[in-house]
Amino acid sequence: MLKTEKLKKYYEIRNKNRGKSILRAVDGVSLDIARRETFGLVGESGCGKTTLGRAILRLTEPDGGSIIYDGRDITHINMFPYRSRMQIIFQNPSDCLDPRCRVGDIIAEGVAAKSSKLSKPELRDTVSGLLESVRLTPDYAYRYPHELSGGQQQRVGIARALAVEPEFIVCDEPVSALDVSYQAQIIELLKELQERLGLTYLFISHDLSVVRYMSDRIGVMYLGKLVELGSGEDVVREPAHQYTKALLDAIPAPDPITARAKNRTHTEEYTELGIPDRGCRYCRLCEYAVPECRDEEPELREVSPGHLCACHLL
Amino acid sequence: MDISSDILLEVRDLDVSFQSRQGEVRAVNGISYFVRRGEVLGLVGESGGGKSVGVHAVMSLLGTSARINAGSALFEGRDILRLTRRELASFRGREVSMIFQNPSSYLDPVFTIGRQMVETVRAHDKGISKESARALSEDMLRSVGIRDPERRMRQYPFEFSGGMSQRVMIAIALLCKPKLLIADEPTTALDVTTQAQIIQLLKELQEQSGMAMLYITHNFGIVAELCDRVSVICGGYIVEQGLTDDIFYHAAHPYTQALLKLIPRIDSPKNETPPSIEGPPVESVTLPKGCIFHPRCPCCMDVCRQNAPPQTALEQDHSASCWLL
Amino acid sequence: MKTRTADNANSAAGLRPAAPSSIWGDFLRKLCKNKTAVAGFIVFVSVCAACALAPYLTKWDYHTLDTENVFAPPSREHLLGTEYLGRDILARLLYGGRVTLRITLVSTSLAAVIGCLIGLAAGYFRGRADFFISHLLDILASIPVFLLIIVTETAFGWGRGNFMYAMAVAAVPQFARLVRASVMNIISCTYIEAARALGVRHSKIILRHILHNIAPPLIIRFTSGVAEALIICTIMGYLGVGINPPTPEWGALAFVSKSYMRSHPLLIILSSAVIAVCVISVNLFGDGLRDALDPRGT
Repeated sequence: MLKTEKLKKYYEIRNKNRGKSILRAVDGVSLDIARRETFGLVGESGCGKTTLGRAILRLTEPDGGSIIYDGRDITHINMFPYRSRMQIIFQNPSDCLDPRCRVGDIIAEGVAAKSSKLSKPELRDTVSGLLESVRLTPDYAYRYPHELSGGQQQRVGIARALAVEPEFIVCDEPVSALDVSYQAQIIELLKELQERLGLTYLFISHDLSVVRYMSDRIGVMYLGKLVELGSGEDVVREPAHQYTKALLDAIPAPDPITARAKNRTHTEEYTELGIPDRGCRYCRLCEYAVPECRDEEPELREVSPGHLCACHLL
Repeated sequence: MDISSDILLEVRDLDVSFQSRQGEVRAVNGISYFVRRGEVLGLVGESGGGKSVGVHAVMSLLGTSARINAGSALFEGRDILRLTRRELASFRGREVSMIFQNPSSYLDPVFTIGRQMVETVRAHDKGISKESARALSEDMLRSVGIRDPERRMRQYPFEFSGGMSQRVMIAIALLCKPKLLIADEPTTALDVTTQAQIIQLLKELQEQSGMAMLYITHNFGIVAELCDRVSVICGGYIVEQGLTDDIFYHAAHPYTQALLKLIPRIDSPKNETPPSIEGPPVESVTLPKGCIFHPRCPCCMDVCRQNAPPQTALEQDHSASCWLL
Repeated sequence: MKTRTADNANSAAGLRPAAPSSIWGDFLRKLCKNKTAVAGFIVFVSVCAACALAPYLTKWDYHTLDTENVFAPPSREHLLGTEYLGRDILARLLYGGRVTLRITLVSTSLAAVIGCLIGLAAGYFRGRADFFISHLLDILASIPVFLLIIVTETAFGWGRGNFMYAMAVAAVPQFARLVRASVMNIISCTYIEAARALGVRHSKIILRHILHNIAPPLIIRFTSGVAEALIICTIMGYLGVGINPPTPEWGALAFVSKSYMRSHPLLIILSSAVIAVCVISVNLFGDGLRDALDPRGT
């Protein structure tokens, strides 16, 4: 249904003393998402996963590669016809709702963007229906966003995305900013909506444990590159890349016994290392790095059917 | 070890309310907790449950709309709720330090990290020279895992990533070697990988220095890794407290049980829907009658709707407030 | 635990169901609760109304001389007395207010509209247009207002119209800069991105989200703009720029009555008082507007 080929997005950064430099936020990412599938995208902040999600929706223009949606290349075309088919749910629910609009107006905006000919009562009914589909009562339409809790705001964000009856939704860290109890509720809601409406998700998160609840397939991103790709089970149970293993290890232990069994050593901060010019991007942190890793960038290779990993050691 | 005599901070029957436009918000309703020397106490609950307020009140960090209605907070036998402004200034930082959720907003953007650290040292120790304060700061930065501290000290807060600023905050908090470190959700805004590093760092620093720690969080996973004891707070009441193992393996209160089920488990079978607690957290404006958790409790009885349950002691250090016990 | 609706969640939380009402209804209700703002509004509007209805409020003309009756004390005939040429003080104040307030309001409105358009263009579309507009505004803003007005007056002729336009031009940068900054701030919010993702057209995004969100700072800027323009206008009148005698203007009135300040202080007190009252009431009203326009307040 959706395919990206070598998608690239570079940013120019002006540095205080070093002049301009190029940040390769998304550097040649190729992935494909099947209809009614949830594709999970994991990686730490700054790895380009959000940029990738936005580039797919052309909310930011990609600098290279192509996006193929439903068999059509949408990399350079006018997006208006596709806006109603592809939607996005944002990370920070309080920031993604206009503070001066009522909930009803926020959702109605989406409905009106899809079909502008609705009469006022029809519009109101549609909005009520959407609110109910995210398990809010219709009287929430008259509230302002700041009167709602984080979980309720996120529900409104979902209702707005559903207003245009999309097929494909980019969920950009939809639960990271929420309390644990809300996280579970929102995940459950997203799953239910997917089943009922036949949605396809690109689910972005930094937390593998959250992604796993949602995803059929998982892609692991590190500094702009996809380093591992496979079914949820494969990635979680048999992680091939050292970075995936580090991500798995970072998840807090669910109980004290597991916690004691885990023997983590305290590592130095490494997110600020920047992207190396050549070689594997993870080589400086990888304990198994061989000289080859520093010189040549590994490509995605199949380790088992449908499970790909970019590592020289495999 | 004689446990009862070694109490560092003891908060008793703390009751805090806020004046808001909707009326009086009862944020904390008579909570009691204590921290022993060298121990890590986890304060767990959902946001809005009063866990932050219950701790900020102790440090006199609440705004003008808050009122402490009752209670005492004894730190080494001294009631710190009744300290004068001047006593408080030397108390904070030296005896007790705090780290917060968003470190970048607690660092002054117009001064270098080094200057902020040196000033902190000198504020509490007037006699120390600038050079030795600087050396102390550098050592501290090194011990929180920041490489090249000399260069880093000359940088401004915006040049640090989220995880790095949190490390700097921890370094500043530990400069005066406090007896108690209060951590208010220090990793909530961070990535899972960075979170794991910060927790590991805190754990190591705590073990090395033997300071006590009060860790506020909504994530039970962190508790499992870090805490010796846990207090579970809900709607401004402490519903259960006990040793970490007791809480995890013999949780008595339905709220604790529900929170425990929320821990994401990577080893659970695929596609199992995550459990969740029914309904939203309690609104402090309209506290329900009876047990604080009854509107969301799966095993709610008639008595729960009428009367608040008393605290029942289960084992040593383990107690819970529930009619089921 | 599976079947859960927001209904029971709602009742559990004890939230009140909100009554349907419009956004402007909310705003008016909040504004009316603020007594100082209402007082400011009433005072300013009644001053404006009194000036507008000047011909009905006083039978006197602002230029009729009554040389036999100079410096008359307040009486039934002349409610506030007369000045050094025997002209009725009340009439001169009211007619003077017509001139002053008209110049003030028209120039500020003009500046607001132009500034808003320029600021929107610069802030929303950025790029080259923004570069030119910003620099132009910087240059304009660096010219002192009085100099700008005097130069315009000398270049295009002495008169009320040019005076007004010059004041408007001088006030444009403030509005344009404010709008540009607010627009850029709002555009970076995720809800604009959400609207773009929904496929909402540019025109609708501007109308709905951006204008809505810049309205509060703009309205507040407008009220303080009115207050500033009032002061500039009266100062220019005092200096004798722009308005020609015998046309009364509050600043000009203050200037001529200055000579008789010791013997007959009434006129200078009155003319200064109306200026002060107007400026203060406008500012109070502006503060009230700001509070009322924030949906987060009650």
